[in-house]
Amino acid sequence: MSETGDFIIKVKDVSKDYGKFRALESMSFTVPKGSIYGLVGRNGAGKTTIMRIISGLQKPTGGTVEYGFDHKKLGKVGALVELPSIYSNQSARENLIFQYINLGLKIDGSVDKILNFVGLGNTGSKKAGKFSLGMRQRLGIAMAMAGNPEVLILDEPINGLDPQGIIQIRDLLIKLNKEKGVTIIISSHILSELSKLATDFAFVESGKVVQEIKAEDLETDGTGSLETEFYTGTPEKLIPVLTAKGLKATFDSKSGIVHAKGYYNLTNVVLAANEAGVNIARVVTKETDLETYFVKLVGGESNA
Amino acid sequence: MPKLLYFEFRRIIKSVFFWIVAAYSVVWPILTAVFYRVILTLEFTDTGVTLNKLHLSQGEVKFFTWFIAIAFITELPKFVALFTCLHLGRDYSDGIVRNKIIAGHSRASIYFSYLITQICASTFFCVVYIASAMLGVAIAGIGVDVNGGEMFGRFATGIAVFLVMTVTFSVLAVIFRKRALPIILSILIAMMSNAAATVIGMYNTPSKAYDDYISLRNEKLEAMAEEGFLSDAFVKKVEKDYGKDKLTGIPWKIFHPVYVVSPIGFEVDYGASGFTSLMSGGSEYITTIDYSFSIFYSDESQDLIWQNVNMSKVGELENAGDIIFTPDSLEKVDSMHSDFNKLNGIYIGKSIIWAAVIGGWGYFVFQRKNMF
Repeated sequence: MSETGDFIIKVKDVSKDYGKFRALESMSFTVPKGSIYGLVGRNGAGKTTIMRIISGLQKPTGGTVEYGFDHKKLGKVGALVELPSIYSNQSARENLIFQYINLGLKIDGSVDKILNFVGLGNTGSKKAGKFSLGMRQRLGIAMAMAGNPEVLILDEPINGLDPQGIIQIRDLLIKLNKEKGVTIIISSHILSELSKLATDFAFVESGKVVQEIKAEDLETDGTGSLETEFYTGTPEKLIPVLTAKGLKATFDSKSGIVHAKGYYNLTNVVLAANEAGVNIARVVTKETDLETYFVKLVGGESNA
Repeated sequence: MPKLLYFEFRRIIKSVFFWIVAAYSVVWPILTAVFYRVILTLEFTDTGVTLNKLHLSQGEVKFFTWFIAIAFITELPKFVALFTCLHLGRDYSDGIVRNKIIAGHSRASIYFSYLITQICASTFFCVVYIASAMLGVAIAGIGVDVNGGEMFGRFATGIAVFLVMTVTFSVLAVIFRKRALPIILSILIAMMSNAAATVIGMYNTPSKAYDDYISLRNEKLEAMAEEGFLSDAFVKKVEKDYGKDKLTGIPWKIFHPVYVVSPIGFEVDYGASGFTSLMSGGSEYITTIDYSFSIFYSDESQDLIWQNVNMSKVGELENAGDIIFTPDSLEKVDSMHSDFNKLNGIYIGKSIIWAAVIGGWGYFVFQRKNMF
């Protein structure tokens, strides 16, 4: 089951049945080591189910989950599935100490370091039950961090947070990924936020992964193809330059805009146009955002 | 497992409710001892109320030592039920069970860490209760006598029976996600346990004791017939009409098997039903259980026999007392008595089996349970 490699988790043909209902249908995807892997899908698509399976809370009906590390070692998988698991009648520090005991870790200065890392170092004896949702989420993440996990599984970690809370969690996750090298698997309904975080995406629909894509590929419509508008006074000079670069270029005489579509490096194109004496006033690249891409991919409303 | 045990013990020690139950286990037996001391010597006179000097036989000292200390079996269950369900229930409501699984602990380790720590907590409450009772009877002036240490064997048996309840409460708390249901069920079980023990315990008489009773009674009736105290026809009628089924009755057939296979009935066998024991059993520390009186007085034929005895014939014979059938006739019948050492072993054995069965069932359910 466990082998090392450049992946952290490999989900292979995983299915999950709840009685007659099939929640997951041969789901497969690979989470690269060091990535922030975003799971995007509608309600009931199977995101939470696969997260539960990966974190060991549920067993799959079929298929396998491979881990690129020794996942049986205590604390190597950290997870925050839906609500953070914390004792509401204990302080942040006491909760973290309980987690240290849970993982068999020595209670030392690292407890306070983690609390400071998540910004809860000054909460004192305040009971976790009196924390704001954002603080509870951060405490949940702190507890998930306790065993220096290889992977952190976060299901809707910014749900219900105010804008400041969202920013705090986002910054914390980026810090965790960059500074501690923790791979993060995250799902969120707030696609605009997810797109700011994730380096990789998996689009989940009806219990299946319909597409895996890297964040940079998403910007190029997922195919590397760019759609660009050129504003110029000399479209007749520009079109041959674009065509020479292998692009499909058309001129819209009503708007006076040259539309170009294809695989190209924008900087090279602009330089080539300059050399040909074309004066370009403005370039607008039509980027595909996550929401648009999701709607395009699965169709219908963007109820991720 | 050791990590989880440390985790749970730390949590127990930090639980306010644990210390409330512990405090109750200290205070209540002392108050009970003082209460009985007052009751035993209180006298209302024309001039007011006075407390007389206490005069107790050694048997009575033993009885009060036992009676007040063993009361944990009736006093503690409802508190332990509440403590267990609230304590373990919090792990569900706060999602800590999920945390433990995600951390990489097996369900078996999680389950048994709960069970072991709850058993330890309950044992602690019982031991504290017993120790406080000893202190209480000493402070109150009743005195302490543990019958040369023999009483500790009975206490251990009581704790074993009590732990079956603890295991039941723990299993309920672990298999139901909603906190209210196990609390209600556990408190109901705790409150009904004493009543159930009283009912079931009434049917504690072994089958062989009835057989031996009938055999000896009929033998005696024939002897009485030979001496002319009774007619042969009457003896035959009694032998025919008052067999084992008549003596034991249908409830015996239902409840006796329950008594045999379960540890229910401890309170009756050991005189641990609180005030009921005091009222029904007197205030002497019993060393053996005697079934002869209960069988004899439940035998309706005895009234009939005495109505048909030829009293003039009885009066004629000097040794009539040896021939007539009385509870004393049963004194040397082995099956009429039960030794407490043997009974301790039986109860401890039954308790271990029941704890294992209930705990095992809970483990089976917990292994298959959806953690959400």
